[in-house]
Amino acid sequence: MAFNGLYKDLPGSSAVDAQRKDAFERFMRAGLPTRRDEDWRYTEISALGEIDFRHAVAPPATAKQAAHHDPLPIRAGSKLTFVNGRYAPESSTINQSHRMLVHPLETNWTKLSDGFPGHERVFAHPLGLVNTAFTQLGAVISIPKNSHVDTPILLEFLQLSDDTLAVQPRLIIELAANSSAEVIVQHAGQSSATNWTNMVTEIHQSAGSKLTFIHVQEQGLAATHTCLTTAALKRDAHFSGGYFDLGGKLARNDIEIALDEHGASAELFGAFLPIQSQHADNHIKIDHRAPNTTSNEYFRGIAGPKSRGVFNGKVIVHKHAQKISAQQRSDNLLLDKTAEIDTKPELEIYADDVKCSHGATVGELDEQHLFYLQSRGINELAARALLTFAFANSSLDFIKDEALRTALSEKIAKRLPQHEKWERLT
Amino acid sequence: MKAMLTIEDLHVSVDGQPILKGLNLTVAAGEIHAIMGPNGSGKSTLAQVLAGKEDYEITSGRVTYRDQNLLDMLPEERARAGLFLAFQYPVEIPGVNNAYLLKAAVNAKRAARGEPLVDAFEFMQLVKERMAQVEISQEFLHRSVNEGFSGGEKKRNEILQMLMLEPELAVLDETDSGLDVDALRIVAGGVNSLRHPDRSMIVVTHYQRLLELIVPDRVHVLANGQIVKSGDKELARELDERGYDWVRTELAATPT
Ligand SMILES: Nc1ncnc2c1ncn2[C@@H]1O[C@H](COP(=O)(O)OP(=O)(O)OP(=O)(O)O)[C@@H](O)[C@H]1O
Ligand SMILES: [Mg+2]
Repeated sequence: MAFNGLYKDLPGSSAVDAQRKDAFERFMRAGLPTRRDEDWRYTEISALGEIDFRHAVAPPATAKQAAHHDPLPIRAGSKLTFVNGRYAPESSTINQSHRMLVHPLETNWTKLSDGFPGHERVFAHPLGLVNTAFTQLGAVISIPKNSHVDTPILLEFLQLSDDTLAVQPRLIIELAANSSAEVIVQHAGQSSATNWTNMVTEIHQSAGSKLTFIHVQEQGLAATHTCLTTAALKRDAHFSGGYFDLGGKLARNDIEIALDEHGASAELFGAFLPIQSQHADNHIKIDHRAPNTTSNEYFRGIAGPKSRGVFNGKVIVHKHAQKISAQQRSDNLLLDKTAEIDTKPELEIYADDVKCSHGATVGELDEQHLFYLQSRGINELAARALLTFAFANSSLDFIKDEALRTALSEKIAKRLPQHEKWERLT
Repeated sequence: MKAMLTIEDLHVSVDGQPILKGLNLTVAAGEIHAIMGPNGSGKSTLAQVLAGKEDYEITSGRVTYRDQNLLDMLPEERARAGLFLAFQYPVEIPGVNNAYLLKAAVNAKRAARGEPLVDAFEFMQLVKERMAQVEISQEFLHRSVNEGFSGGEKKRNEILQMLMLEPELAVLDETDSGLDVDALRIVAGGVNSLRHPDRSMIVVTHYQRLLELIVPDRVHVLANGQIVKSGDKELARELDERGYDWVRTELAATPT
């Protein structure tokens, strides 16, 4: 690997160092996945191994940062900003009441004196290995028992450099029993450089906890974005995860949820919009390991010319996981003859009393809808653009926070072709 | 009197199957015409062809709308030129907000006429007033177009759109079907409020009771792809009492 030289002088604790060493060695043996791996059939990242990456470079002047990205206009309780692979304390604010909850890794490696809590899956996953070996930025968010954090915690990762950076953030979210929080992660960048962000988020939810987690990826069109979310949920815990992949030349999202105890539930929703010769791949795996667990997936993909989307949703219902319910919907829209979306639900069911449903569609806009709008005076191009936007927008219905929903809706609109045609009229 | 719409010898097929077979109709400015006729006779086909739906093959005939060749115009051009179709089955459009649609529709028409676009304030005033008129609550503005609306709500929503757009020629395709008595009165009130010497309407209906509320200048019977009988509002009453068989028998007795 061209970037294995990055494995030196990394921060951590002795336990972290041991984990890094193990991960690094395993990664050196296994290498990056190739398209021969079933899970990577559609997405080629092995070429990243040829690139001579750097970890981080100095951020540009603060004023320039603000001008360079499109912040989420939400009332964040705390905001951690990371620029070009480094924590930027001068751009971050940690709300007084969050001081005990939100810890940027840079100054808190001691929080990991036992190493990354990890899930087996992080260490089993090729992206997890890379991240564990190389990570040098991120945060630990720990919410104590019975605490309810009522303002969102925002982490923004900005790539504002033209250097070829490999940025490997690690986010650890731990919710103690009956606590709740909302965490938003935004990846933005205007850079035309071939940077790579490879993020791992490990989520540990104790009984009765509730987490809302929103991922917004709007990196530059030369960037590669890969991220792995693993979550393990105890009794009656609830995870609500929204994934919006709007930017990047290549985006790959792996989400692995373990519903470990009775009554745990997860809803996953989102939109991926490979529009401008982009590639977006979502791999979701939900393990129903206990009775009465619930999962619901709702994703919308839109592909433009020479773009490709992938949705792979796997649900595994283990032997004793009776009375579970698992729903999955993947609806996709092709905007061009050269667009492609592959959607594949996979169900492995070893219990007998289960309610599972899945539906997948790949198609074009509905002619009846189009005619209805045209019959109201809206020209065909504007009507198509509006319907395309509406199609993506329905993935936001799960978001309760109106300011966030509006902000995401605007970001989605801006990504879609001809949006100004209907926006002009409304 | 000035003609709003002239249809001459219109022949229309769907999938090679002739549906309209030489239809003639002239509607003068300021008039309301009712079209009645048995199920499947081609009433909605006519309405959709007027609005510009592509699935229909126009094999021959001419349609002139305010001195323009209507059949040459795109659906959106027809709408901006003042033609409005209230659909028999309004579609649900998930994700498209009702307010967006109304505003976009009003602005599309204004832009086409070189008028300034409506601003947010003016729009809200107008829409509130019109919604009150058709007794639709304002929460409907933020719902997706027709999504989850009851049958009657969909029909009232069509009338709301019509009131916002103030068309010169409105074609109402069974807007009265499925309405309760109050909704029927509301819809008829909306239609009557638009009555104007420069505006015409074509009201497709199966029921005389609507025509008690929206009193037509002319009533036509469309059967088997043609207008087979025309008369004044008394014809509607007669059809109501005697059914279409009576027209058919009468036609059969008339030598052609
Ligand atoms: N898209 C289509 N494909 C096939 N047949 C069609 C299509 N549209 C209309 N038809 C046929 O054309 C005929 C006329 O239909 P149309 O909907 O115009 O009738 P209508 O007079 O409006 O009837 P109703 O009173 O039931 O609304 C029917 O026999 C119908 O089945
Ligand atoms: Mg009909």
